[in-house]
Amino acid sequence: MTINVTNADWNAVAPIIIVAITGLLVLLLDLLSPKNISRYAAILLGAAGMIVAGVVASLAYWSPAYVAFGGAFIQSGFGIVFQLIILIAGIGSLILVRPPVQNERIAGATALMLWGTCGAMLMAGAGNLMVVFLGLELLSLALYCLCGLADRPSSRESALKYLILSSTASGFMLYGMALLFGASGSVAFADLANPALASSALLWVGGGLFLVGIAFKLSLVPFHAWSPDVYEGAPLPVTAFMSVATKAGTLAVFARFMYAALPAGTADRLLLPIWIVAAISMIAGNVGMLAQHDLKRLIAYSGIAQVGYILTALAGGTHLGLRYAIYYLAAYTFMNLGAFAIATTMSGDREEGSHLANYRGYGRRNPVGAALMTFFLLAMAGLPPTAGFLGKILILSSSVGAGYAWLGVVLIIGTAISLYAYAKVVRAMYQRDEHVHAFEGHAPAPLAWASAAICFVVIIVMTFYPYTPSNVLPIVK
Amino acid sequence: MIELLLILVPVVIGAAMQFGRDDENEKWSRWTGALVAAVMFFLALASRGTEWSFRWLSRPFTSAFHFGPTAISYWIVLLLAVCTFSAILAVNQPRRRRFIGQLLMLEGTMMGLFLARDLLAFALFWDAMLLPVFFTLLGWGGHSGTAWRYFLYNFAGGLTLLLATAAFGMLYGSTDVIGRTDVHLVGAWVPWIFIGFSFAFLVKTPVWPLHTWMPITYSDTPSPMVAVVSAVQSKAGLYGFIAIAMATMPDYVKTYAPWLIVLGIVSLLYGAFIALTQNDAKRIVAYSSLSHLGLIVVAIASFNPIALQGAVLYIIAHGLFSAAIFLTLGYVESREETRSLVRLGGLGASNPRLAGALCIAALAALGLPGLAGFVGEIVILTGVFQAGLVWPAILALIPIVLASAYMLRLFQGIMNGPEVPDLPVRADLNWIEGLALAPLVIALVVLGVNPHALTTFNPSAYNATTVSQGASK
Amino acid sequence: MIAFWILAVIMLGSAIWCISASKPVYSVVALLLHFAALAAMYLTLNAEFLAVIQLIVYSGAILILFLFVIALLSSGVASFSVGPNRLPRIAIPAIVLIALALGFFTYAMGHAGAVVPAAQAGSPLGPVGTADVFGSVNDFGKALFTSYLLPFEITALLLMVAVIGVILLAGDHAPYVATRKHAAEVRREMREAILREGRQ
Repeated sequence: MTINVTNADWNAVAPIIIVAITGLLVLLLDLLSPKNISRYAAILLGAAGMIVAGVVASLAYWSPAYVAFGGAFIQSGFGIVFQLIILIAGIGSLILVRPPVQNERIAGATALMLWGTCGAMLMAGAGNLMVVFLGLELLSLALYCLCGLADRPSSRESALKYLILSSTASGFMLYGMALLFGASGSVAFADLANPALASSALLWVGGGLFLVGIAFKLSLVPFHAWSPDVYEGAPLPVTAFMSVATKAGTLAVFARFMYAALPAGTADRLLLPIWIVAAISMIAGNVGMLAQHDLKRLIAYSGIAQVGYILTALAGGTHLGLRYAIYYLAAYTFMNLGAFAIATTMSGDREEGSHLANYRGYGRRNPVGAALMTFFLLAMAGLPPTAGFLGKILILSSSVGAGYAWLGVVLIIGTAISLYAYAKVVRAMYQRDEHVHAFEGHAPAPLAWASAAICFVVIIVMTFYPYTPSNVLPIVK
Repeated sequence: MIELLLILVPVVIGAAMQFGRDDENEKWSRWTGALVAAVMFFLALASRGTEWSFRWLSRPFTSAFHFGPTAISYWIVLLLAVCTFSAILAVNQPRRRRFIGQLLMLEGTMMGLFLARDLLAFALFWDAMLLPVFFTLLGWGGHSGTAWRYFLYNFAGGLTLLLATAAFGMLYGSTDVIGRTDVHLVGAWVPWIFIGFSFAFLVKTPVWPLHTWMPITYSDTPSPMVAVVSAVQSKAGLYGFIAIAMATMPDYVKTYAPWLIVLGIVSLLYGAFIALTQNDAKRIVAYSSLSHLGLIVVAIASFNPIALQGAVLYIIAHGLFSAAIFLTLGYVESREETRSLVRLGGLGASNPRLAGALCIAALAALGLPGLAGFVGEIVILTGVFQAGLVWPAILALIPIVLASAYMLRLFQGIMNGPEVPDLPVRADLNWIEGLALAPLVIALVVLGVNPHALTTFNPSAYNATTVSQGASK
Repeated sequence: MIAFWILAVIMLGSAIWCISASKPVYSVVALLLHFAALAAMYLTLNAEFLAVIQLIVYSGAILILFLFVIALLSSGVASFSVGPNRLPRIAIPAIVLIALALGFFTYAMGHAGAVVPAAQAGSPLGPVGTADVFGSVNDFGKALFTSYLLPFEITALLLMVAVIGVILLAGDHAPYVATRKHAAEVRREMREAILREGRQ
């Protein structure tokens, strides 16, 4: 089974190659340039590289799908849309890099973030289990290091926790993959869709273990406990990146597995645990948010629930559901990046922007920032006029249409709970509390402000022009 | 295009007023706000028969930003414009500019709600109109628990509305249905859709037993805001019943009509009896609202054209007099720093204009002939009788008698009796405060004498036929 | 089959020894045993190439690296620092879970049908080094650079990320103190400290 690798194969992974090479260039630039300019230079070069990659990727969107490297990588609308979301997450979090990541480390952090992005992008386009696993490990390895970059013990704790727990989950996933390989005799997704496998116990056991790994990476309950701790310790931009890119990449793998790689008739039964887990996550994630005093923990729990919403859209396996899941994922990306951008503008060496206590009276100190933060939080809660609102209605419609109305009802209940948690932050910002200790902002962060403004505009535009890409049905061959 | 202006102008100006230092431009804000509200009134007047539409979703169901007043909502929009104008002039809260900005945002979002011809847009503004009230309660309200209770109750309603809207869209293929007469929803899902809508509407109205957020909200919200909330926002649920539930799924409304009538009657009686026992002036009016709105629910559920006309009349009338009462109580509170009927007393002698204003509003509320409240009540009762619902009509008479009792008690407790020596009695109404009340009082009288304009809509568009079918007990 | 069971017991036993050993050196020895048994198991599966790689890379290179680190830190003889022992508390749930999982897998595998797909099962098994047989160097190399070229390239990137990440994390010993020193200053101090130790 030898194949010929041609230029077209390399073109299919061109965006990933561009991002990877940008990472090397960033390191080179850091080596050659004076220290005081290298910080912004590294970030801007990294962002520029990702923008170029995004342009290259989107150019291929309308061209016919191409199966590269003998099925290892698939260039199609599905993968490209996910890659674009991941690139946006990469850019949006890269430009937030500031202290406490020290200046000397910024070039390295930039390079790692770029390579992590590569990993997630590989997952989005992966056509076989091997590339899925390598992409995941590339992403995770970069994140282990990034988590530990802040200069404080909690950051190291975060890195270590993530390393150990994530490796365990990778072990589960790898075992599942091995069994799937045993079932089909091939690592390719394409060979899993063989109807003869529907009765193979290996498929069921392997698929189950594989899904455990997926559930861990998506931080679904009961595999969620790591995410608040890891998010809390990691530096802000890393948390921003992790909260979106990991989820986007894993969701892409899950959607491809679910839509294209399962033998006919197995999806309903094999995936039922995932829907149940998604329902539990929607409730538990939102309940977990209520007690949080740290923005990053809050977002971690919020992310647990939001993934539940996205899975609600996927339940039933309709094409429309997938489109709405992507729409919501994109909306979630911008809401999260926006909230993290505002938190970054408040932060200095000690990341003050991640402590919710520091938001008391923020509405008085900085009305624009508070208004934007309110907007992003209410978008996460799904209040109008935001893409969160429209995304929820689209998800509800698709769940009703696909016969999973019970997930829609759970979504409604979860949203009602979540509102309290989000509104609590909003209330703190606008509280008439005269006794707040004056907390002063930090050095201006023009990039973060720009990011917040862009996120705001995009969310508004997404609300009123709800474009959902149509060319996204995943293929495996 | 007028619709777009009606929605966006108040929201944008109101939002702009939130920025800047606390004490800047306080003086100008009132006149800016009043000017905007007045312009909105004339725009609303001119909006009759206009429509504006812009495609929003094409799948999974078609949906549009489709705005334009219906025959019923036209009047509610006018009511909203008048009430906002009056409320803005009556603002005497600290941080006035921000407060007026919140009022304007409330106006804009509610304009969106009542002008919406699309269910999805309706649901969008349903949630959006909660925010200004929530922020006002946080910034100016008494106890922060009130804000939460208001917000969570109503947002829960908004969520079921959202779910029902999604199901509606999936079933019918379009949500662009408000004001259309050819939509008739059938299917196994429809009862659930109806229940989803009803929950939202009943919470918003409110109706017993979902009213528990209401008295505390009404008494804690500053008077200008609560005037608008009780006058207009509480009508959103009733309008939803008429324009959405009755118009698109009449069979199911008829099936559930007995339940609605029971809930309406219970609210009617419960509200009236509790109002008799309250000591806080604003709570009296809050419970009287529960009672009055219960009457409208009964009217709607009786599926009778005359009752429906009466319901619309009473929606407007209740809006006018409850706004007037709340604004007047606001004046009293800002002068005497209390709302307790035990503490207050004898203000009438030194404040004749204040007493006169409260008198007119209270008389309208208890249904004095010649004022708008009477017309609404009498038409509703006639319609309910005609629908064959004799016992509900008789039961509905009791609270109307009780209304006289609690409204007079309210008036006497504040204005009559010996002057209380330790009350900080200050000046009578000044001309701005008078100007604030004037449009409401004029409208009450005009509509009381000539209510015909309000009843020009066609009740059969809402499936209210002369022969009542499902609603007879 | 007998070989499998013997090797399995050795592997499991050494794995448990590895994580429960009281001194790092013992752990490393246990790991060595584990890797050797794994290599042997590869041999029984006719994967000679993998077996050799396993011995060379893991037992040869990585374990030696571990030993070097332990020797350099000169804590090989010292015990792991003792914290509260949580093992008893989680032992029973863990054993129950493992038993459940084992039972589940045994049941599932029992109903699995053909484990090795026909295509691979029928491929010829020849002596190591000959061309075009399953598991041979030739076959392996060909697959690596054609069908699995992309994963191979990703692996290169993966290793680079690991290297850069480690440099980034370990290279700059920023102290956990509030007054942060300039990095150059820290580096100079470190150099001096190393020189001092060298002299002693």
